[in-house]
Amino acid sequence: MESGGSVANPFRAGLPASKTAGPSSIIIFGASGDLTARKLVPALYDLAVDGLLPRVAILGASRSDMSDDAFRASLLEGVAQHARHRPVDQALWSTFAASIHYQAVAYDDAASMKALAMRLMAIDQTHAMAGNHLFYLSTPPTVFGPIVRNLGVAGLATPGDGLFARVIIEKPFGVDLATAMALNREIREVLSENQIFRIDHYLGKETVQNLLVMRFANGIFEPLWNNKYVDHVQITGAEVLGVERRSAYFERAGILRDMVQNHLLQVLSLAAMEPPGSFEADAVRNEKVKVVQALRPIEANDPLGRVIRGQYASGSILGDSVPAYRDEAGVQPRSTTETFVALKLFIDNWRWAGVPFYLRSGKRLPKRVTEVAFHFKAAPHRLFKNAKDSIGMEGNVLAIRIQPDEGIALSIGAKVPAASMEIAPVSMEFRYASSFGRDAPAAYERLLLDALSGDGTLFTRGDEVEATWRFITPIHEAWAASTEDPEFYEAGTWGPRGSVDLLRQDGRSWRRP
Amino acid sequence: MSSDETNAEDTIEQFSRGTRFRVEPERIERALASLWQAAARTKDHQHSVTRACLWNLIIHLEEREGREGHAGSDALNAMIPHLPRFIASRTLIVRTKDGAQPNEEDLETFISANCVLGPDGKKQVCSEEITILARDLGDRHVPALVRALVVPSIPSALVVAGLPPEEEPMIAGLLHTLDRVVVNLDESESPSPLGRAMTLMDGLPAGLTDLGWIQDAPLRRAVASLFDGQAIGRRLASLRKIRFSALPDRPRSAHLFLGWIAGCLSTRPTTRLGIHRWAIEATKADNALIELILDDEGRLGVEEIEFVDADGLRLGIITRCEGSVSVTANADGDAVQRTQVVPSKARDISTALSSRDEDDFLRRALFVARGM
Repeated sequence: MESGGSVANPFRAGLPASKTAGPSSIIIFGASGDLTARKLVPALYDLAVDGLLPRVAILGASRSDMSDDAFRASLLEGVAQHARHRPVDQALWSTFAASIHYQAVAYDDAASMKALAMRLMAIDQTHAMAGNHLFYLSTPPTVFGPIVRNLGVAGLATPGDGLFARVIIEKPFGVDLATAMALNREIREVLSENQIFRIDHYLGKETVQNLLVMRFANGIFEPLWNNKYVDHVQITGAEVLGVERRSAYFERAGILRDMVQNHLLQVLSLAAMEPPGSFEADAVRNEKVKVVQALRPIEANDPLGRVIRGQYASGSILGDSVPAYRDEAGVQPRSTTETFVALKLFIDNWRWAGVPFYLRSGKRLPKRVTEVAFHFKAAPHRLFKNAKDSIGMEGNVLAIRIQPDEGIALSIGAKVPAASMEIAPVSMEFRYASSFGRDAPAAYERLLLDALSGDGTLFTRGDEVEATWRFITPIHEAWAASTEDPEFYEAGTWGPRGSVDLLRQDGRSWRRP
Repeated sequence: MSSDETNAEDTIEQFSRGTRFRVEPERIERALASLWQAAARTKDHQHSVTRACLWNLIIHLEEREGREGHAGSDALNAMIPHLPRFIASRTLIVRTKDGAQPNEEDLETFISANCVLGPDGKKQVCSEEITILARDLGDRHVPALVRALVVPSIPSALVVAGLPPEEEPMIAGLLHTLDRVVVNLDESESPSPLGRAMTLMDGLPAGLTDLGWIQDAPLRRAVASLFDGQAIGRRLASLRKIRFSALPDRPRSAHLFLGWIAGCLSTRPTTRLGIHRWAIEATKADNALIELILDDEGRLGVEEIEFVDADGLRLGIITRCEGSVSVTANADGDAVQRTQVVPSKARDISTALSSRDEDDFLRRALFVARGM
């Protein structure tokens, strides 16, 4: 279990990273995988370049045999390609790399984990580390349980006095409610909740955090943030890519598990939650979980009435012909895995009663974009009856763009300069890149730093994960019981016809992001 | 395309490439608006521009010899083209000069754009620049002109080389309308710059920060990192000597840095032991008596801070050389962490504007350093 704090560092007062951890070792399980080379180590390197990383040693662990030097060389390649600060500063890298080590490990073998513990102790000693340990589970989910269990056996889950042992767990956290509950049970036998950091990298994105800033640091939006003024909300998570090299995983997961259960429901809960009492981890997460718990369950007598399942057929993306999902390598020829899903959700609480939240997510859509768009109700009285007035008909839209081109756009009606009365929508845009002129840190940078300093605000709590699965699992069960194919859509379009109809039957339409 | 259209496109291209156009003061806003309007209408994507503004930046370039700020004005001027990479602003460059010729006006104004390519590599993000050239008595018009030209509803900052001079009506006319003043103590010719900075801090509604203080943020973080962690109490209590080998051209920053260290460790005043040597009773470190030493004849281009314990062993060394900060956490020198911050005055100014959190700590450091 996590130990308590220590004497305050007098030199930390007033510095930007006032919560920085002491010297720590970061142990990455699944270190030979893509995530380590593409995201994790580039993020740590970028933090080091910016001077925000505490003193760290890194121990990579995975099943393959590899020397320290070979591991470092593979990481350097990843940093050279994926770090924000490029080209790599060789002098800085050589110092950084000197604290990187590698050890082969069998995740489900207690003896192997004890050997890892011995190596870790030696590394801590070599680099004058205090004994703080951050474990990162970037492995297939099937070994999350065994790794945590063996961390316990090896004595690595219980930190010394004033030290910490924390575990970051990558998604997917379970594949349905039962497996998520079982995994929570298994890891809580070894770790307390405040040692567990379930990561959803969307929460590390600047614009996702800016959703909270926009709502709760500005006085003008919150009064409008309810069913009196909001007509409906659209959340889009669109990808241009197909399944690429992930067909084996995606065949089992589908877009509902891959995007909606985690990323989009996280965005939804931040967009719809009540103001927390403070920005402390549990205060924020208490409010988020209430939103998910208030989602109206899928109707038992019409489980798929508010759900559209699609799968891409062949088509064209950005000038290239692309195959149908069923023709992708590694995909079953009669696969029913969904590559697109659209949902109409209701949050049954005082604030959002009657306001539909439309979510859609898909692969092989025309462009990569993630956004939340609040569509406000039209003005109560149409004063300019004879004017061409699309805003008067449709209402204003506040769109929060999460990726790419992070920013916020508000559409308002303005008079077109002319003798006649014509009203046209104009967009007031704020873009991070233009306004701040600097790169936003990568999501993993923020999240790794938060985990090192013990701040769980941007991580998902156990009850939150279970609440999302409680909502999602009946949809999977209904699909499993159905013999119908998903609705096909041409790659490069915005999804199947049913998705359009889902809104059209309500007299609405999807916005083109 | 008609010749008028060709001329318009040429003008836009020149404008977005930074060419300066002389414009009468009363026509500045209209001229800027019409140029941006034309730029937005252009069909050529290469010239597609976004105009962005988060701050009004007023940069004073003192070109009159012998005046405060003259020595650093060339360096400040050289930094201006780099600003849009770090901060979106309307930049008002105030140049004050001596000796108007008979055919020269005492006040001239110019507009130009300072553009950088956006992250997509196509769209240019531009900051607009207005240069106000004041000769001789022309500077009396500057405060009112600046007040008229700042973009409303966004904050304004004054950046000077050195410190704002005490008896300068033009500067005095500006100071009380600002949200931020960015100074450079190391470039000041004031006989008591720390005291002057304190006075400014106390007397102005604006926040004040110093570029040297901003540049030393990585060093402060490095010092803090030496004491993070479990053994902090023991490490602090064993501390007996801190030696700062500073660069000769950063004397005030070095002094301020030691003031910050002393302020972090103690709530009591320092005792002078000799030239550049002080003692503090570290009330936040077991009341240990700690000696502070400022050595301004260190290695060329290298700054070093050394922490020594009661047995004469080094608890840690921090070294900065060409922007690279190394932290060595123990006497054996085998635990090194390096960070690299490429020196950039433009980035430092953007940092100075982005946060006021450190103001109180700068104030405390100034207060302690002034008494040392």
